[in-house]
Amino acid sequence: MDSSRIALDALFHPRSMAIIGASEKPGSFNAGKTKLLLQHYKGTLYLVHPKHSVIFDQQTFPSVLDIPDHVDMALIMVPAPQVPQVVEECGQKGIAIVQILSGGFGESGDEGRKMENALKESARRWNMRIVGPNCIGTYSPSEGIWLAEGSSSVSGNVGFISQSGGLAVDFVVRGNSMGLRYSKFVSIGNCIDLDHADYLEYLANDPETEIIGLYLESVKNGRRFMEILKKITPHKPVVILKGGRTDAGMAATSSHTGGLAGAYDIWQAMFEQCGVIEVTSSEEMLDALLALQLIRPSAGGVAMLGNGGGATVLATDSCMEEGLRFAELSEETKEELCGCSKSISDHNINPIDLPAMDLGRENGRVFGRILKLFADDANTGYILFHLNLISFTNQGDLEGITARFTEEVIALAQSGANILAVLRYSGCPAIENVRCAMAQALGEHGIPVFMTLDDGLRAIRFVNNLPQREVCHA
Amino acid sequence: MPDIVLSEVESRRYLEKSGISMNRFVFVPGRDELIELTRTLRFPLVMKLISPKAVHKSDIGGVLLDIANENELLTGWDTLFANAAAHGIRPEDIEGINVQEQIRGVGEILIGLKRDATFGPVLVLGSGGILVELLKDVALGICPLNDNDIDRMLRKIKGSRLLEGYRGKTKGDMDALRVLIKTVSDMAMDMDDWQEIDLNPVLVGPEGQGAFAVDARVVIRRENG
Repeated sequence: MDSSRIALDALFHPRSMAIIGASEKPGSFNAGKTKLLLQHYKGTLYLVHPKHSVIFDQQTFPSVLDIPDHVDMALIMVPAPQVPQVVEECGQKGIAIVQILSGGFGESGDEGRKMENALKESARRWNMRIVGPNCIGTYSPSEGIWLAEGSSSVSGNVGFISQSGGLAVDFVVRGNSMGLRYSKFVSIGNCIDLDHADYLEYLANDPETEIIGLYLESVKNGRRFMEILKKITPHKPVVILKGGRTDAGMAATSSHTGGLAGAYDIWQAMFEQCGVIEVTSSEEMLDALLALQLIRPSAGGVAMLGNGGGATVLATDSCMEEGLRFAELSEETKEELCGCSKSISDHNINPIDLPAMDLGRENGRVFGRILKLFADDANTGYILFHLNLISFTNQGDLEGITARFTEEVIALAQSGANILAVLRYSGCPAIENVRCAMAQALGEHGIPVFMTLDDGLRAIRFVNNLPQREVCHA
Repeated sequence: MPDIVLSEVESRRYLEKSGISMNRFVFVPGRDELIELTRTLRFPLVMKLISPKAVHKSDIGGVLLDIANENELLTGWDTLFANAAAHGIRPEDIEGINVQEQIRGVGEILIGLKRDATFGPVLVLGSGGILVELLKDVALGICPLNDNDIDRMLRKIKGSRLLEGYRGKTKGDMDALRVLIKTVSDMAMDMDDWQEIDLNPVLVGPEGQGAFAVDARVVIRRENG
């Protein structure tokens, strides 16, 4: 257990790193990775290549064994047949952990499996740990270890474990653009050595990580994985997206029970038993993490404002279906709300839907005032506002009014309001630019933004259903 | 090699060792021993045909209920053999008759076990009797189950509300059912030669009167044997 903890510290917080298979060949994956780390990594970076002596103007070593100083971690990107030799050298060098990005191992047949055994043997001999093979790397913003172009340099409290490399890039880049901030992210590949349970246990004890996301397709030691999950979820929410949910092979069985318990049914039972938050798409995963990161759990109800009568009716249905309730606002609040706009009366308070024209009155101040009244009412737990920007185009200056709304919302959030935004997608290119700019500005100020009302309400549900958190003594 | 499906009698013997609550039974191989062997059982009784050719006993008239006395036992024996013959099952294909005490339950439930490659023993609760596969009113739990897990699973299936006195119905012995579920979960962890197990149905008696599996099927893993 301890050896994996020390090794994973070196993976996420290495003081020095070697890239074996560094390259500057334009357009190649290896060159992209080399450049990304040269640009952003804060520790000492050593490039290794058997033939080149200089790559991207930096001295290059023929082998890790030629590097004069200690190396904490190595990133291996050479073709599969060369990997066993390179790994053996990393062991000799005293490197704590290697990430093997190269593919062509267990996933491609018997020959690859044999090589995997050789790698495991090397690692055991040198007391070194392996991430992968067949993975895409790690993202550790505090160390400047980027996973892909478009990663954020800002750290947060979300730790993520991904069994897919391609999705890892999606989760990092899309998540970052939504304002999601990661503590650590690892793409785990074939897990020939370190497996899901090891990474999970590490994140459970990691003080930087308060929320954990996992994309997985299978786990090796299911029972250990479960035991760790049970220990974490009372302290840190865990969200899991399981790929391969459909039962392609529900084998013919000789009993009733066999037919009643499909493979994913069993996963769902496990989620429930271990207090895991289940999601079924990558969008839902990102929305859940964003909600858990930015929305605070509250005993109060939902207060909602936006334009669109039908949308509000549908949102009311969704609110109930998600098991949420609207806040019962006080008489004083209601009276003041009625004073804000002649379109508000006793029977349309919370949710409030107002025409764009009314929301935009007094240069956006009416909008801000209503949200402020929501925030000041003790019965409000969550404030959700939703805008369909297409209706504001009649008002003239769309950019101006959205900028004003943004200011009002940021001011409110800074005063402590538990607020989220739904900027409804309309598909109109001219409006999309404004919508994205508004979403980005809100995201930068820690206000979560969702695309549809259903997504926004579901986000509240993720937070609202959290168990009473136990104090963590990590 | 395929797994081995135990007969009801073999299954009962397997489960008995782990303390699974079942109604009392006697396996009778021949008609001349019928009265003698069943003397310790309390009427009314149930008679079930045991033959490898009759997997779904009730479909061929292989189950008789409400046997009230010795006379009915003897005529029951003849009826079962006649029903079997009508479905092409010859006397030499019949191993014997399973005679068991009839339980009056306020409701029934399925308790099953399945071995999952990733998570190990999984316990399934289901309601709906023969409609269980159609209704899919089921709850799953990964063993070993604790009391909270069992309560959560029972809450999850709609059929369990029928056992809890729904609209004035007699309440079932939920405590006995919980104990039975726990015993099955513990057995699942202790024994590693089974592949799948059905206790179907489990009859839940009125409060204080217990819960009993009245039919069982155990599938043994061949590779372990």
